[in-house]
Amino acid sequence: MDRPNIQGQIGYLTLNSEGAVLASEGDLKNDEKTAGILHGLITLAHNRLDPKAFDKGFKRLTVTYEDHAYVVCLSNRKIHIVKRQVQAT
Amino acid sequence: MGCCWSLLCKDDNSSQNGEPNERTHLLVDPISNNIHIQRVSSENLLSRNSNDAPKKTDEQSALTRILQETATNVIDVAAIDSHNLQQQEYIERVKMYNIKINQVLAGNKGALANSLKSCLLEDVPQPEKILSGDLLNREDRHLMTSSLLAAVSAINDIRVDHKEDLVVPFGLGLNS
Amino acid sequence: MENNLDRVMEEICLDPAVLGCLFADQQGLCIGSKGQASNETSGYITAIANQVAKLEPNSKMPVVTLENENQICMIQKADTITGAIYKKL
Repeated sequence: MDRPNIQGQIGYLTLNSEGAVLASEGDLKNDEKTAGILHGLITLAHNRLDPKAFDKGFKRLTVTYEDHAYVVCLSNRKIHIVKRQVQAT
Repeated sequence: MGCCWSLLCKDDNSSQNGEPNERTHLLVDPISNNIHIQRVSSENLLSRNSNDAPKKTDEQSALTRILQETATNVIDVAAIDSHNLQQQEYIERVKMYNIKINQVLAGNKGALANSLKSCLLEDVPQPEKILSGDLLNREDRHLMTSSLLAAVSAINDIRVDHKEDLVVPFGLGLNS
Repeated sequence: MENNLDRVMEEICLDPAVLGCLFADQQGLCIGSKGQASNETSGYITAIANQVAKLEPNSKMPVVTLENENQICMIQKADTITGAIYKKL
């Protein structure tokens, strides 16, 4: 996936496994700070966070604010981050 | 009876000519010091000087070995004859270098994978599908937020339940 | 002393979809846990919440979610504690 095109997308970041920015667009254009924080976030712990409770590894991480959310997933050893608009509750 | 002499020691312990002195280590760390310990029988105590010679050639050969290794590894740029590359040769070299680079990169894939050894997320095949999935719904979000608020208030209520006095007099009156 | 917190956690776990919940203090030590939430995960939960707080320091604390196919782990930080709720999707 080169350029994610997701409904409600207002920005994206693609990082390599070491956290270096490979591509960025929109709200996240050149946003190395967000890249660093989210890369640090997913490398904080092992995939089986609580093996007692979760029988499978996690596929997605989201950080949900009032009106927007960051959605992160790992694919083909690249970290994909998309910032999406959320319907204000 | 024999005795074990270590004639070769680290620089700060031996004198210039390698003769043992009062600071010479009797036992040498076998890992850090690859110069072997010479076993000398007591009869040879008097002929100590004759042992300097084999030790000196050891040093010499070690030195020569180091020089040789450096010489083979060092690229003397000034000494290289500069010659103009033919166009064809240039193209060939570019191709060869690219092949070598790709070989190295392919070989290093194992090393690269280690950088994500500890990762909260699993590698998935279809990122678009995952990224466009439903976001946190209103109910779940409310469950989390309200539970957290309730917990904060409950934890703030945690206080020591004073049931008995901590300090109790033993009932031994000072006057009796 | 912790009766009130116990009651709160019990109430959370009344929901049949909830697998467990956990609360940790600012240092990542477990204050309380119920259900399938392991108290050993409290350190990770706090670390994740603290890292996420760096994303948008001026916004209200977001809800972090880690999802697999059928389970979700929600994490949110308040001033003095971090909470996590595990739920079936």
